[in-house]
Amino acid sequence: MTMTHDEFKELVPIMALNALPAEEEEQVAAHVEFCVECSRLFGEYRSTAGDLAMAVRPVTPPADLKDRIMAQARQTAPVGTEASRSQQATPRRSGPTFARWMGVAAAAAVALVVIGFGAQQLMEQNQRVQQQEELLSAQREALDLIGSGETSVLTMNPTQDSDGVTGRVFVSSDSGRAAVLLSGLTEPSGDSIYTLWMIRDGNEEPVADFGPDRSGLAVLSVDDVKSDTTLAITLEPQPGNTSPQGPVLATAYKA
Amino acid sequence: MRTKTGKLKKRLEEPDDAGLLEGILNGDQACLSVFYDRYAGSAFGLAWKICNNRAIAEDVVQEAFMAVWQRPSSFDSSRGSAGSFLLGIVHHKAVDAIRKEESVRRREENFTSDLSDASGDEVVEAAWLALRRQSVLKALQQLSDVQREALELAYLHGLTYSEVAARLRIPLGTAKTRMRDGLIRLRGILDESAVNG
Ligand SMILES: [Zn+2]
Repeated sequence: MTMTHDEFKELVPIMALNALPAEEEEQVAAHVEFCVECSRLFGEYRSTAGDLAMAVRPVTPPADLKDRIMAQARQTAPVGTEASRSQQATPRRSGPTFARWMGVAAAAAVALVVIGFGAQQLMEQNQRVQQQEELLSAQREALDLIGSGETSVLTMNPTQDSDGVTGRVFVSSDSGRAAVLLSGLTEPSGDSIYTLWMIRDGNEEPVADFGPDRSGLAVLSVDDVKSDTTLAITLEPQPGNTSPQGPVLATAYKA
Repeated sequence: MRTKTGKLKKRLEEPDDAGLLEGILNGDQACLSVFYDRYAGSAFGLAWKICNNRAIAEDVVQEAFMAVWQRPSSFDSSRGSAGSFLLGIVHHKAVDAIRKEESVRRREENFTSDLSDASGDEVVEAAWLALRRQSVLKALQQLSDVQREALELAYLHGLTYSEVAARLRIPLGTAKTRMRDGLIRLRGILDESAVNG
């Protein structure tokens, strides 16, 4: 059974109330992940549902609950900070030509392999739900970066070296501002660091060095994504490279 | 007198959570502690109401606070308060828990509309929290009876729309419409009251 955007949209408030049966929730969540409008609406309804929860009378929890939570918090001291996540792209000097990638990007654009943020089905439901929430909130963050208006969505196609790194690019048709949402990132070892590159007119330009947040996600903004532009992610041996040395993990092509 | 008024005003004012979440973002445990003190009662009240089981409710609250601790950056202040954000997580986890443990619940529950009832161990609420609750209750009163009933069954008892339909003996489409219209209406009312102070 396939549903239209309008049919999904009708179910978005029901999902915000957590009142969809599991199978339907999966379907609607998959649509919301892709659909800019439904994703925005979901965020708003979710917040209203949270307000509704405020109608419930508070009850004092057992005293030892706080001890348990604080103990667990000490054990899972955060490994990343906000700085590792929503980073403004800081343009750097562009390096030499970059013919090799153009081939990769073009091939990827033709293949158009739509990789969802998959593998979730294989996981425990609990984990799945949490990941979905995190992904959705990261997506909202990405959408907020580019503002409202018409938005096109590109897939970040993983390469053979991607090792699970995949993502999407949301491009504002008006401003050319884009938000790159990546998932499946791992904390790089040693000095190595992820780098986002913009390839255009035969030049490759480093846009930002970045690391993942605690959920393996990253949201980056890129200005001025015009047509015939390729975005690529590499894993560089050290920060600050002006031309790529490490393996290409994923690419997206804006036609 | 002036100081007294000042103190009262302070007690009535909703605290600003933005700084707290920023602290949590930087891994400051003291901020997590204050955030807990502020919202644990609301979180536990909600989890217990949905789960109907103290032990499960405790687990749910613990998981929710850990989710905030591990990923505070998913909070977006333009989409509501930190309290609503936390309670949204509590709700999702609570519903998840009961749908997995069908047997624990459903059998022993009783569906009373007890939003204004004094049931369970109450806490002495902070004034701002009580005011906030009053405003949501007031907004709920502006919905039609059938919308309010559907929202309460779905959100505050954790039923799916098909369970709501079965319980009320109404068609599935009607249940969905009542829930959707109720939530949209509620959003409008709360937005309006936020604008008008
Ligand atoms: Zn849609």
